[in-house]
Amino acid sequence: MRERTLLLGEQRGMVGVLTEPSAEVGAVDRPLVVLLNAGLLPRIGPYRLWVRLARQLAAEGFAVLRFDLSGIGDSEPRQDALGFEEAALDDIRQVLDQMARSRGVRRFVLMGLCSGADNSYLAALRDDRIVGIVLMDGYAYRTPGFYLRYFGRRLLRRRSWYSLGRLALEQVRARLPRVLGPAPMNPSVRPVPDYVRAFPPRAQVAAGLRSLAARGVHIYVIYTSGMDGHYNHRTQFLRAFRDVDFRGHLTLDYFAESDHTFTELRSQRALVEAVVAWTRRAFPAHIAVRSAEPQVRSG
Amino acid sequence: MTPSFFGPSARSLFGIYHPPVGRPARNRGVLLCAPLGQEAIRAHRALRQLAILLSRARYHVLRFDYYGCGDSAGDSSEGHTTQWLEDIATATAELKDCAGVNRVCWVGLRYGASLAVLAARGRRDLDSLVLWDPVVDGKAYLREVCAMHEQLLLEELGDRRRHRRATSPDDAEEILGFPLPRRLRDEIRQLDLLSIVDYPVRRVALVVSSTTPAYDRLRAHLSSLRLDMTYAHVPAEWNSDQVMNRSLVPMDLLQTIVASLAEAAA
Repeated sequence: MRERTLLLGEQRGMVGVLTEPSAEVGAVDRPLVVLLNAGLLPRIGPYRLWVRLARQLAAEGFAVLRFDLSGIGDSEPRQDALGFEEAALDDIRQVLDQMARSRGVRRFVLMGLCSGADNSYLAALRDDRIVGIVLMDGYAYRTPGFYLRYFGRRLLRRRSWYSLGRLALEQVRARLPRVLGPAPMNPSVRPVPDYVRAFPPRAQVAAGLRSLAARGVHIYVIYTSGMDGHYNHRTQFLRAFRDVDFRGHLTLDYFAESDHTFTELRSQRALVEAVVAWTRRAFPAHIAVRSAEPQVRSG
Repeated sequence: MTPSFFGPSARSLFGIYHPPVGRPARNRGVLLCAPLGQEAIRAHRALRQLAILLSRARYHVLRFDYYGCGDSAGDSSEGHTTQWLEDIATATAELKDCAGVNRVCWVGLRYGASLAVLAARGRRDLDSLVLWDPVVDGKAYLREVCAMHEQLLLEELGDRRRHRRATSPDDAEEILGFPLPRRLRDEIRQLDLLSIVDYPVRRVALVVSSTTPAYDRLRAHLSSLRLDMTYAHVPAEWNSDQVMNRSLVPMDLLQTIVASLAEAAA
């Protein structure tokens, strides 16, 4: 395993670190894994988790790039006025283009937590070179089962009526057109950061997931209990997207004992182990031959 | 801004060199010594901004990650004080090499400030030290970060946390998302800045974002050492996940540090 620094993007203002496998384990044409910023956290990830993940994936034969989007971590801010999401997607496109040009990479797997999950999904919709995504605490949609579990667990608690009122208030807010802003992810814990996260309409995401499944994109969806205001069961994702045929490309996990940023070391170990195992399964060395490659869109 | 890995290949360190902006460049380098663990992540934006301000003040600046920290080699469980003192020396050599300067200043934050004090012993190339919110007493620091850890887990995990044993400064194995191996815990516990009298520098600046009895004691201690010592209290918040997520930097405090170095050089 070896690591080197890169200056990325058309202005070379984004800082990245490329972790490459040693020659013995490095398989030709395996996709490049790209780790995205989680919110405003620098590229090392929450608690340096992306560094550990990158190095363990490299031990499995994957090259891994972690980098800072413009204005985050060590990267220079952009000079244009693009919004957070459009700027992030353009940054990702520039980085992928650069890795394709300079290293001949033809396939990418994007991984991210929170806004990093959202950016992974949105980038995959736009870019056929992205053949896998790992979405950690990505968009979540409540189902009838969610409400049953949510209220079932709370009705016997002393503060149940407070919680009920809070959720009801959230529901009202969520239905109001942005006047009050989107429902906060976990309103009792943290103040709302500058970056405000909004989930697109479920039907829109369902259509997006259908298009990714049709392209054969491998999708690994992970939720933690840090999303328990929106997600509280391992299979809720499947229930929320019953109208999507994932064609066997979906893997789902629920880290019930972990918070949103995997603060405890045991949660970190479990996450890294799970993501490495999924990546190894989804992109085994033996399919990484040129004849099995998908067509790369030109232009 | 030039990112690179430097140092011995088995223990390579990540750093970013900020060259002076404008001429004439000062013939001084400034090395930024970061805090540990989650405090380093919380301080990242502020230290980057400080590096930019110092480079605009025509200093050569290097910020870097210790072994087992940030992008540098090593697992998070492998770092310890002895290694990090060596890393400060390695980074100083790298800064002098990049910049072509012979003399340097060190700016340390929290445990990074304490490391800077320990690493200064016996050096002859140091002009000044800036100690920003230094860890004065290792035992008190462990108690403080353990309390922060407990609070964070209670907030994040709620009921799931209540059934587990509370983190104790005596045997904590993880703090705020990072391992706390026994060796490091013991090293931190032994830290007592008030027992250090060897400051081979012309000038020491103590810059604090809050007033505490420990900082008062350190200020009195430094004053008693016949050093050119300055003290500044600049109220600021930087050490919380909330502030980190709001992407704020303590600009007044950073300006105070830049001014303090400029005064020292005058």
